[in-house]
Amino acid sequence: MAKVHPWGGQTPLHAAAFLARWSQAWLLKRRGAEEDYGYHLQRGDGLEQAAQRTGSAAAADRDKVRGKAQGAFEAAVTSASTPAERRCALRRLGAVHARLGDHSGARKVFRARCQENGQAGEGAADGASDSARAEAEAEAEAEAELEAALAGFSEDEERERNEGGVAATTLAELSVSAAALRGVTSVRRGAAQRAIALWRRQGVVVFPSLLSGAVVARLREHVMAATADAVTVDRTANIRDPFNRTLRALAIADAAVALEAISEVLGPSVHAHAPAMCTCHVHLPCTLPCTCPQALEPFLRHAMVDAELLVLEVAAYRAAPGAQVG
Amino acid sequence: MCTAAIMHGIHMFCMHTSCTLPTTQAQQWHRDDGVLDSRLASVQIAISPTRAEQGALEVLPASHTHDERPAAAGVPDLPGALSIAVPQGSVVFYSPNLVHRGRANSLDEERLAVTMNVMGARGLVPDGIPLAVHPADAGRWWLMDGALVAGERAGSAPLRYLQD
Repeated sequence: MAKVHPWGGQTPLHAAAFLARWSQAWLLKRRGAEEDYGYHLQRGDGLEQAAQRTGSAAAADRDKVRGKAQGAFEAAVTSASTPAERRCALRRLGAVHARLGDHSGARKVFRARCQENGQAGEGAADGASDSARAEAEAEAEAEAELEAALAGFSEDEERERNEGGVAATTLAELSVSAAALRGVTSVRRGAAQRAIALWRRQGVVVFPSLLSGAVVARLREHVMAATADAVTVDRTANIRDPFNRTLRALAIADAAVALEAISEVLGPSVHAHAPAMCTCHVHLPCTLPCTCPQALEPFLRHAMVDAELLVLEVAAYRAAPGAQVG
Repeated sequence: MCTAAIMHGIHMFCMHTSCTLPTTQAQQWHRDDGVLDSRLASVQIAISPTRAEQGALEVLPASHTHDERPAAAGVPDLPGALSIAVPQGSVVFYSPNLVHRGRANSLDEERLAVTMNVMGARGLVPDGIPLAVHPADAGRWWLMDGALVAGERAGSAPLRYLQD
Protein backbone atom coordinates (compact mmCIF):
# COMPACT_ATOMS: atom_id res chain seq x y z
CA MET A 1 0.00 0.00 0.00
CA ALA A 2 2.81 2.39 0.84
CA LYS A 3 5.07 0.76 -1.71
CA VAL A 4 7.76 3.02 -3.14
CA HIS A 5 7.35 3.66 -6.81
CA PRO A 6 10.37 2.57 -8.86
CA TRP A 7 10.51 5.81 -10.81
CA GLY A 8 11.88 7.90 -8.03
CA GLY A 9 10.83 6.99 -4.56
CA GLN A 10 7.25 8.20 -4.84
CA THR A 11 4.68 6.65 -2.56
CA PRO A 12 0.90 6.90 -2.69
CA LEU A 13 1.28 9.40 0.13
CA HIS A 14 3.28 11.69 -2.12
CA ALA A 15 0.59 11.56 -4.76
CA ALA A 16 -2.18 12.20 -2.26
CA ALA A 17 -0.23 15.13 -0.84
CA PHE A 18 0.59 16.59 -4.22
CA LEU A 19 -3.04 16.45 -5.23
CA ALA A 20 -4.12 17.85 -1.85
CA ARG A 21 -6.25 14.78 -1.15
CA TRP A 22 -6.00 15.10 2.59
CA SER A 23 -8.62 12.48 3.41
CA GLN A 24 -6.76 9.94 1.28
CA ALA A 25 -3.47 10.89 2.92
CA TRP A 26 -5.06 10.45 6.33
CA LEU A 27 -6.38 7.01 5.39
CA LEU A 28 -3.01 5.98 4.00
CA LYS A 29 -1.29 6.99 7.22
CA ARG A 30 -3.87 5.12 9.26
CA ARG A 31 -3.09 2.05 7.16
CA GLY A 32 0.58 2.36 7.99
CA ALA A 33 1.98 4.43 5.14
CA GLU A 34 5.42 5.60 6.10
CA GLU A 35 6.03 9.31 6.16
CA ASP A 36 9.37 10.41 4.84
CA TYR A 37 10.93 13.80 4.44
CA GLY A 38 10.06 13.88 0.78
CA TYR A 39 6.44 13.59 1.74
CA HIS A 40 6.78 16.40 4.24
CA LEU A 41 8.38 18.62 1.64
CA GLN A 42 5.52 18.10 -0.74
CA ARG A 43 2.81 18.14 1.81
CA GLY A 44 3.27 21.13 4.03
CA ASP A 45 -0.02 21.06 5.84
CA GLY A 46 -2.39 22.40 3.25
CA LEU A 47 -1.57 26.04 3.90
CA GLU A 48 0.65 26.05 0.85
CA GLN A 49 -2.13 24.86 -1.40
CA ALA A 50 -4.44 27.42 0.11
CA ALA A 51 -1.86 30.09 -0.52
CA GLN A 52 -1.46 28.94 -4.09
CA ARG A 53 -5.20 29.07 -4.66
CA THR A 54 -5.88 32.39 -3.02
CA GLY A 55 -2.65 34.17 -3.81
CA SER A 56 -1.56 34.48 -0.22
CA ALA A 57 -1.55 32.73 3.09
CA ALA A 58 -3.78 34.20 5.75
CA ALA A 59 -1.80 36.69 7.81
CA ALA A 60 -2.22 34.62 10.96
CA ASP A 61 -0.74 31.60 9.19
CA ARG A 62 2.37 33.25 7.79
CA ASP A 63 4.71 32.45 10.63
CA LYS A 64 3.41 28.91 10.64
CA VAL A 65 4.01 28.51 6.93
CA ARG A 66 7.42 30.08 7.19
CA GLY A 67 8.42 27.84 10.07
CA LYS A 68 7.15 24.75 8.34
CA ALA A 69 8.99 25.55 5.14
CA GLN A 70 12.28 26.08 6.89
CA GLY A 71 11.79 23.12 9.21
CA ALA A 72 10.93 20.76 6.38
CA PHE A 73 13.96 21.75 4.36
CA GLU A 74 16.28 21.51 7.36
CA ALA A 75 14.86 18.05 8.02
CA ALA A 76 15.69 17.08 4.48
CA VAL A 77 19.35 17.97 5.06
CA THR A 78 19.42 15.98 8.28
CA SER A 79 17.65 13.02 6.73
CA ALA A 80 19.81 12.82 3.62
CA SER A 81 21.33 9.38 3.35
CA THR A 82 23.99 10.12 0.75
CA PRO A 83 26.32 13.06 0.04
CA ALA A 84 24.51 13.73 -3.24
CA GLU A 85 21.16 13.82 -1.52
CA ARG A 86 22.56 16.09 1.17
CA ARG A 87 23.96 18.55 -1.37
CA CYS A 88 20.62 18.57 -3.14
CA ALA A 89 18.83 19.24 0.15
CA LEU A 90 21.27 22.04 1.00
CA ARG A 91 20.51 23.74 -2.29
CA ARG A 92 16.80 23.64 -1.54
CA LEU A 93 17.31 24.91 1.99
CA GLY A 94 19.41 27.76 0.66
CA ALA A 95 16.71 28.62 -1.84
CA VAL A 96 14.13 28.83 0.93
CA HIS A 97 16.40 31.11 2.96
CA ALA A 98 16.88 33.27 -0.12
CA ARG A 99 13.19 33.60 -0.82
CA LEU A 100 12.45 34.37 2.80
CA GLY A 101 14.82 37.29 2.45
CA ASP A 102 17.62 35.80 4.57
CA HIS A 103 20.35 36.23 1.99
CA SER A 104 23.26 35.85 4.38
CA GLY A 105 21.75 32.59 5.65
CA ALA A 106 21.31 31.46 2.06
CA ARG A 107 24.95 32.24 1.21
CA LYS A 108 26.08 30.28 4.25
CA VAL A 109 24.09 27.22 3.20
CA PHE A 110 25.23 27.47 -0.42
CA ARG A 111 28.87 27.80 0.67
CA ALA A 112 28.48 24.67 2.78
CA ARG A 113 27.03 22.88 -0.20
CA CYS A 114 29.84 23.98 -2.47
CA GLN A 115 32.48 22.94 0.05
CA GLU A 116 30.90 19.51 0.39
CA ASN A 117 30.80 19.26 -3.36
CA GLY A 118 34.49 20.11 -3.56
CA GLN A 119 35.32 17.45 -1.02
CA ALA A 120 33.32 14.95 -3.01
CA GLY A 121 35.18 15.98 -6.15
CA GLU A 122 38.81 15.61 -5.20
CA GLY A 123 39.25 15.73 -1.47
CA ALA A 124 40.59 18.49 0.73
CA ALA A 125 42.40 21.42 -0.82
CA ASP A 126 46.16 21.03 -0.94
CA GLY A 127 48.04 24.14 0.19
CA ALA A 128 47.15 27.75 0.83
CA SER A 129 46.59 28.72 -2.80
CA ASP A 130 44.23 25.81 -3.36
CA SER A 131 42.45 26.69 -0.17
CA ALA A 132 42.05 30.31 -1.23
CA ARG A 133 40.87 29.23 -4.65
CA ALA A 134 38.35 26.83 -3.14
CA GLU A 135 37.10 29.61 -0.87
CA ALA A 136 36.74 31.97 -3.81
CA GLU A 137 34.88 29.32 -5.77
CA ALA A 138 32.58 28.69 -2.83
CA GLU A 139 31.83 32.42 -2.59
CA ALA A 140 31.18 32.68 -6.30
CA GLU A 141 28.98 29.62 -6.33
CA ALA A 142 27.05 30.82 -3.29
CA GLU A 143 26.37 34.11 -5.04
CA ALA A 144 25.36 32.36 -8.22
CA GLU A 145 23.09 29.97 -6.34
CA LEU A 146 21.48 32.91 -4.61
CA GLU A 147 20.77 34.55 -7.95
CA ALA A 148 19.36 31.32 -9.34
CA ALA A 149 17.13 30.86 -6.31
CA LEU A 150 15.72 34.33 -6.76
CA ALA A 151 15.42 34.25 -10.55
CA GLY A 152 11.84 35.09 -11.39
CA PHE A 153 11.09 36.20 -7.85
CA SER A 154 12.70 39.62 -7.72
CA GLU A 155 10.86 42.68 -6.42
CA ASP A 156 10.37 44.11 -9.90
CA GLU A 157 9.05 40.83 -11.18
CA GLU A 158 6.74 40.50 -8.21
CA ARG A 159 5.46 44.01 -8.78
CA GLU A 160 4.86 43.19 -12.41
CA ARG A 161 3.03 40.05 -11.34
CA ASN A 162 0.79 42.05 -9.01
CA GLU A 163 0.02 44.51 -11.76
CA GLY A 164 -1.17 41.69 -13.96
CA GLY A 165 1.63 41.94 -16.47
CA VAL A 166 3.31 38.63 -15.95
CA ALA A 167 2.46 36.98 -19.28
CA ALA A 168 4.87 37.65 -22.13
CA THR A 169 3.30 39.30 -25.12
CA THR A 170 6.03 38.79 -27.73
CA LEU A 171 8.24 35.92 -28.77
CA ALA A 172 11.28 38.05 -28.02
CA GLU A 173 10.22 38.26 -24.39
CA LEU A 174 10.34 34.47 -24.21
CA SER A 175 13.68 34.16 -25.95
CA VAL A 176 17.25 33.86 -24.74
CA SER A 177 19.82 34.31 -27.47
CA ALA A 178 22.53 31.76 -28.08
CA ALA A 179 24.94 34.64 -28.61
CA ALA A 180 24.32 35.82 -25.05
CA LEU A 181 24.86 32.30 -23.75
CA ARG A 182 28.17 32.24 -25.60
CA GLY A 183 29.11 35.74 -24.44
CA VAL A 184 31.49 36.96 -21.80
CA THR A 185 30.92 35.77 -18.27
CA SER A 186 28.64 38.51 -17.09
CA VAL A 187 26.46 38.36 -20.21
CA ARG A 188 26.33 34.57 -20.12
CA ARG A 189 25.43 34.57 -16.47
CA GLY A 190 22.63 37.07 -17.03
CA ALA A 191 21.28 35.03 -19.93
CA ALA A 192 21.23 31.86 -17.88
CA GLN A 193 19.41 33.58 -15.03
CA ARG A 194 16.91 34.95 -17.50
CA ALA A 195 16.27 31.44 -18.85
CA ILE A 196 15.53 30.12 -15.37
CA ALA A 197 13.29 33.09 -14.61
CA LEU A 198 11.39 32.62 -17.87
CA TRP A 199 10.82 28.98 -17.09
CA ARG A 200 9.44 29.80 -13.68
CA ARG A 201 7.31 32.75 -14.73
CA GLN A 202 6.21 31.89 -18.26
CA GLY A 203 6.46 28.10 -18.35
CA VAL A 204 8.30 28.34 -21.64
CA VAL A 205 11.78 29.38 -22.79
CA VAL A 206 12.85 29.74 -26.42
CA PHE A 207 16.48 29.44 -27.53
CA PRO A 208 16.47 30.54 -31.20
CA SER A 209 19.04 28.84 -33.47
CA LEU A 210 20.69 27.12 -30.52
CA LEU A 211 21.84 24.07 -32.48
CA SER A 212 24.18 24.11 -35.45
CA GLY A 213 23.22 22.94 -38.92
CA ALA A 214 25.43 19.88 -38.46
CA VAL A 215 23.61 18.78 -35.32
CA VAL A 216 20.22 19.37 -36.93
CA ALA A 217 21.35 17.37 -39.96
CA ARG A 218 22.23 14.41 -37.73
CA LEU A 219 18.88 14.62 -35.98
CA ARG A 220 17.15 14.80 -39.34
CA GLU A 221 18.85 11.54 -40.33
CA HIS A 222 17.34 9.88 -37.26
CA VAL A 223 13.96 11.39 -38.06
CA MET A 224 14.08 10.09 -41.62
CA ALA A 225 15.16 6.64 -40.43
CA ALA A 226 12.29 6.56 -37.93
CA THR A 227 9.87 7.56 -40.63
CA ALA A 228 11.05 4.72 -42.85
CA ASP A 229 11.27 2.16 -40.04
CA ALA A 230 8.31 -0.20 -40.17
CA VAL A 231 8.75 -1.37 -36.58
CA THR A 232 9.02 2.04 -34.98
CA VAL A 233 6.48 2.99 -32.33
CA ASP A 234 3.88 5.09 -34.08
CA ARG A 235 1.59 7.03 -31.78
CA THR A 236 -0.05 9.16 -34.42
CA ALA A 237 -3.45 7.75 -33.57
CA ASN A 238 -3.05 8.89 -29.96
CA ILE A 239 -2.49 12.58 -30.56
CA ARG A 240 -5.09 15.30 -30.77
CA ASP A 241 -6.43 16.15 -34.18
CA PRO A 242 -4.16 13.60 -35.90
CA PHE A 243 -5.19 14.24 -39.48
CA ASN A 244 -2.03 15.05 -41.45
CA ARG A 245 0.08 14.88 -38.30
CA THR A 246 2.44 12.05 -37.39
CA LEU A 247 4.17 11.21 -34.13
CA ARG A 248 6.74 8.43 -33.96
CA ALA A 249 9.18 7.35 -31.30
CA LEU A 250 12.89 7.91 -31.73
CA ALA A 251 15.59 5.92 -29.99
CA ILE A 252 16.58 7.95 -26.94
CA ALA A 253 20.25 7.15 -27.54
CA ASP A 254 19.93 9.28 -30.67
CA ALA A 255 19.23 12.28 -28.42
CA ALA A 256 22.82 12.31 -27.22
CA VAL A 257 24.01 14.46 -30.09
CA ALA A 258 21.37 17.08 -29.36
CA LEU A 259 21.87 16.97 -25.61
CA GLU A 260 25.60 17.47 -25.94
CA ALA A 261 25.06 20.36 -28.30
CA ILE A 262 22.49 21.99 -26.02
CA SER A 263 24.78 21.52 -23.03
CA GLU A 264 27.67 23.05 -24.88
CA VAL A 265 25.77 26.26 -25.49
CA LEU A 266 23.68 26.42 -22.35
CA GLY A 267 26.80 26.09 -20.24
CA PRO A 268 30.02 28.00 -20.20
CA SER A 269 32.75 26.89 -22.56
CA VAL A 270 35.23 27.96 -19.92
CA HIS A 271 35.22 27.79 -16.18
CA ALA A 272 37.43 28.39 -13.24
CA HIS A 273 38.23 24.94 -12.00
CA ALA A 274 39.54 21.62 -13.18
CA PRO A 275 37.09 19.24 -14.85
CA ALA A 276 37.46 16.72 -12.03
CA MET A 277 36.09 19.31 -9.62
CA CYS A 278 33.49 20.58 -11.98
CA THR A 279 30.29 21.62 -10.28
CA CYS A 280 29.49 23.73 -13.26
CA HIS A 281 26.30 25.71 -13.34
CA VAL A 282 25.01 27.68 -16.22
CA HIS A 283 25.61 30.82 -14.22
CA LEU A 284 29.00 30.08 -12.66
CA PRO A 285 31.57 32.77 -13.36
CA CYS A 286 34.49 31.23 -15.22
CA THR A 287 37.98 32.28 -16.21
CA LEU A 288 39.97 29.29 -17.43
CA PRO A 289 39.25 27.25 -20.54
CA CYS A 290 38.07 23.68 -20.36
CA THR A 291 35.27 21.63 -21.78
CA CYS A 292 32.22 21.40 -19.59
CA PRO A 293 29.60 18.85 -20.54
CA GLN A 294 27.52 19.38 -17.44
CA ALA A 295 25.52 22.41 -18.34
CA LEU A 296 22.13 21.13 -19.43
CA GLU A 297 21.49 19.11 -16.31
CA PRO A 298 22.08 22.04 -13.94
CA PHE A 299 19.72 24.18 -16.00
CA LEU A 300 17.10 21.50 -15.79
CA ARG A 301 17.77 21.04 -12.09
CA HIS A 302 17.15 24.71 -11.47
CA ALA A 303 14.21 24.79 -13.81
CA MET A 304 12.54 21.60 -12.69
CA VAL A 305 13.88 20.03 -9.55
CA ASP A 306 13.74 23.33 -7.73
CA ALA A 307 10.19 23.51 -8.96
CA GLU A 308 9.65 20.21 -7.18
CA LEU A 309 8.97 22.33 -4.15
CA LEU A 310 7.44 25.26 -5.90
CA VAL A 311 4.18 25.18 -4.00
CA LEU A 312 5.95 25.26 -0.68
CA GLU A 313 8.57 27.73 -1.79
CA VAL A 314 6.10 30.14 -3.30
CA ALA A 315 4.07 30.01 -0.13
CA ALA A 316 7.19 30.59 1.93
CA TYR A 317 8.09 33.54 -0.23
CA ARG A 318 4.65 35.03 0.04
CA ALA A 319 4.63 34.46 3.78
CA ALA A 320 7.87 36.38 4.22
CA PRO A 321 7.53 39.59 6.23
CA GLY A 322 6.98 42.50 3.91
CA ALA A 323 6.39 40.34 0.87
CA GLN A 324 3.82 41.60 -1.58
CA VAL A 325 1.01 39.15 -1.97
CA GLY A 326 -1.22 39.03 -4.98
CA MET B 1 15.31 0.44 -7.07
CA CYS B 2 17.37 3.29 -8.39
CA THR B 3 20.55 4.53 -6.86
CA ALA B 4 20.95 7.80 -5.00
CA ALA B 5 22.94 9.16 -7.90
CA ILE B 6 20.12 8.47 -10.26
CA MET B 7 17.66 9.99 -7.86
CA HIS B 8 19.31 13.32 -8.53
CA GLY B 9 19.57 13.01 -12.28
CA ILE B 10 17.08 13.93 -14.95
CA HIS B 11 15.07 11.08 -16.42
CA MET B 12 14.53 11.03 -20.19
CA PHE B 13 11.29 9.18 -20.56
CA CYS B 14 10.12 9.93 -24.04
CA MET B 15 11.50 11.04 -27.38
CA HIS B 16 9.63 11.36 -30.61
CA THR B 17 9.52 13.08 -33.94
CA SER B 18 6.48 14.87 -35.23
CA CYS B 19 5.56 15.98 -38.69
CA THR B 20 2.83 18.46 -39.56
CA LEU B 21 1.90 18.25 -43.22
CA PRO B 22 0.46 21.05 -45.34
CA THR B 23 -3.32 21.50 -44.99
CA THR B 24 -3.25 20.28 -41.38
CA GLN B 25 -5.86 21.94 -39.19
CA ALA B 26 -5.08 23.53 -35.83
CA GLN B 27 -5.30 21.41 -32.72
CA GLN B 28 -7.61 22.34 -29.91
CA TRP B 29 -6.03 24.22 -27.04
CA HIS B 30 -4.98 21.84 -24.31
CA ARG B 31 -2.67 20.98 -21.46
CA ASP B 32 -1.01 17.61 -21.85
CA ASP B 33 -3.23 14.94 -20.36
CA GLY B 34 -2.63 13.75 -16.86
CA VAL B 35 0.46 15.85 -16.27
CA LEU B 36 0.16 17.53 -12.90
CA ASP B 37 3.77 17.83 -11.93
CA SER B 38 5.98 20.86 -12.40
CA ARG B 39 9.04 18.64 -12.52
CA LEU B 40 8.35 17.73 -16.14
CA ALA B 41 9.54 19.52 -19.23
CA SER B 42 9.10 19.08 -22.95
CA VAL B 43 12.13 19.99 -25.03
CA GLN B 44 11.23 20.65 -28.66
CA ILE B 45 13.83 21.06 -31.39
CA ALA B 46 12.95 22.62 -34.74
CA ILE B 47 14.34 20.36 -37.45
CA SER B 48 13.00 22.65 -40.12
CA PRO B 49 12.59 26.43 -40.13
CA THR B 50 9.15 27.00 -38.70
CA ARG B 51 6.89 29.86 -39.60
CA ALA B 52 3.77 30.56 -37.60
CA GLU B 53 1.46 29.38 -40.39
CA GLN B 54 3.49 26.18 -40.84
CA GLY B 55 1.91 24.33 -37.91
CA ALA B 56 4.06 26.01 -35.29
CA LEU B 57 3.70 25.37 -31.59
CA GLU B 58 1.45 28.04 -30.07
CA VAL B 59 1.46 28.74 -26.34
CA LEU B 60 -0.34 30.81 -23.76
CA PRO B 61 2.55 32.21 -21.69
CA ALA B 62 2.33 31.96 -17.90
CA SER B 63 -0.59 29.53 -18.06
CA HIS B 64 1.43 26.70 -16.48
CA THR B 65 0.58 27.45 -12.87
CA HIS B 66 -2.77 25.74 -12.79
CA ASP B 67 -4.66 28.98 -12.99
CA GLU B 68 -8.21 29.01 -14.20
CA ARG B 69 -7.62 30.23 -17.72
CA PRO B 70 -9.31 27.61 -19.83
CA ALA B 71 -7.81 25.61 -22.59
CA ALA B 72 -10.95 26.57 -24.43
CA ALA B 73 -12.06 23.91 -26.84
CA GLY B 74 -12.91 25.24 -30.23
CA VAL B 75 -11.59 28.74 -29.61
CA PRO B 76 -9.45 29.54 -32.64
CA ASP B 77 -7.62 32.55 -31.29
CA LEU B 78 -6.94 32.61 -27.59
CA PRO B 79 -6.09 36.13 -26.39
CA GLY B 80 -2.47 36.38 -25.33
CA ALA B 81 -1.34 33.31 -27.28
CA LEU B 82 2.04 33.39 -29.02
CA SER B 83 3.20 31.37 -32.00
CA ILE B 84 6.69 29.93 -31.63
CA ALA B 85 7.95 30.76 -35.10
CA VAL B 86 11.63 29.90 -35.01
CA PRO B 87 14.61 29.17 -37.24
CA GLN B 88 15.91 25.65 -37.73
CA GLY B 89 17.89 24.40 -34.73
CA SER B 90 15.89 26.40 -32.20
CA VAL B 91 15.13 24.71 -28.89
CA VAL B 92 11.98 25.35 -26.86
CA PHE B 93 11.57 24.20 -23.26
CA TYR B 94 7.94 24.24 -22.19
CA SER B 95 5.89 22.91 -19.35
CA PRO B 96 3.33 20.23 -20.24
CA ASN B 97 0.98 22.23 -18.00
CA LEU B 98 1.22 25.21 -20.32
CA VAL B 99 -1.89 25.78 -22.43
CA HIS B 100 -0.71 25.06 -25.96
CA ARG B 101 -1.56 23.55 -29.34
CA GLY B 102 -0.14 22.89 -32.77
CA ARG B 103 -1.26 25.52 -35.23
CA ALA B 104 -2.67 24.81 -38.65
CA ASN B 105 -0.21 24.38 -41.49
CA SER B 106 -1.49 26.54 -44.30
CA LEU B 107 1.81 26.63 -46.16
CA ASP B 108 3.29 24.22 -48.68
CA GLU B 109 6.08 22.90 -46.49
CA GLU B 110 5.83 20.31 -43.75
CA ARG B 111 7.01 21.09 -40.25
CA LEU B 112 9.44 18.67 -38.62
CA ALA B 113 10.32 18.65 -34.92
CA VAL B 114 11.94 16.38 -32.39
CA THR B 115 10.59 16.45 -28.85
CA MET B 116 12.13 15.00 -25.72
CA ASN B 117 10.27 14.69 -22.44
CA VAL B 118 12.30 14.84 -19.26
CA MET B 119 11.49 14.53 -15.59
CA GLY B 120 13.35 15.62 -12.47
CA ALA B 121 14.06 13.19 -9.64
CA ARG B 122 11.04 12.38 -7.52
CA GLY B 123 8.76 13.58 -10.27
CA LEU B 124 5.26 12.21 -10.21
CA VAL B 125 4.57 9.63 -12.86
CA PRO B 126 2.51 11.19 -15.64
CA ASP B 127 -0.67 9.40 -16.52
CA GLY B 128 -0.60 7.84 -19.96
CA ILE B 129 3.16 8.03 -20.36
CA PRO B 130 5.08 6.60 -22.11
CA LEU B 131 3.28 7.94 -25.08
CA ALA B 132 6.01 7.51 -27.64
CA VAL B 133 9.02 5.54 -26.51
CA HIS B 134 10.61 2.38 -27.79
CA PRO B 135 10.01 -0.47 -25.33
CA ALA B 136 13.75 -1.00 -24.92
CA ASP B 137 14.15 2.64 -23.86
CA ALA B 138 11.35 2.75 -21.32
CA GLY B 139 12.60 3.79 -17.90
CA ARG B 140 16.21 3.38 -18.94
CA TRP B 141 17.80 6.74 -19.72
CA TRP B 142 19.07 9.43 -17.39
CA LEU B 143 20.90 12.68 -17.87
CA MET B 144 23.67 12.63 -15.30
CA ASP B 145 26.62 14.97 -15.12
CA GLY B 146 25.78 16.18 -18.57
CA ALA B 147 25.86 12.77 -20.19
CA LEU B 148 23.06 10.52 -21.35
CA VAL B 149 23.45 7.37 -19.26
CA ALA B 150 21.65 4.05 -19.45
CA GLY B 151 20.33 2.95 -16.06
CA GLU B 152 22.40 -0.22 -15.93
CA ARG B 153 25.62 1.77 -16.38
CA ALA B 154 24.71 3.81 -13.32
CA GLY B 155 24.18 0.71 -11.21
CA SER B 156 20.47 0.42 -11.71
CA ALA B 157 18.25 -1.94 -13.59
CA PRO B 158 15.96 -0.17 -16.02
CA LEU B 159 13.08 1.41 -14.18
CA ARG B 160 9.63 0.11 -14.86
CA TYR B 161 6.64 2.15 -15.85
CA LEU B 162 3.29 1.62 -14.27
CA GLN B 163 2.00 0.11 -17.48
CA ASP B 164 4.61 -2.68 -17.46
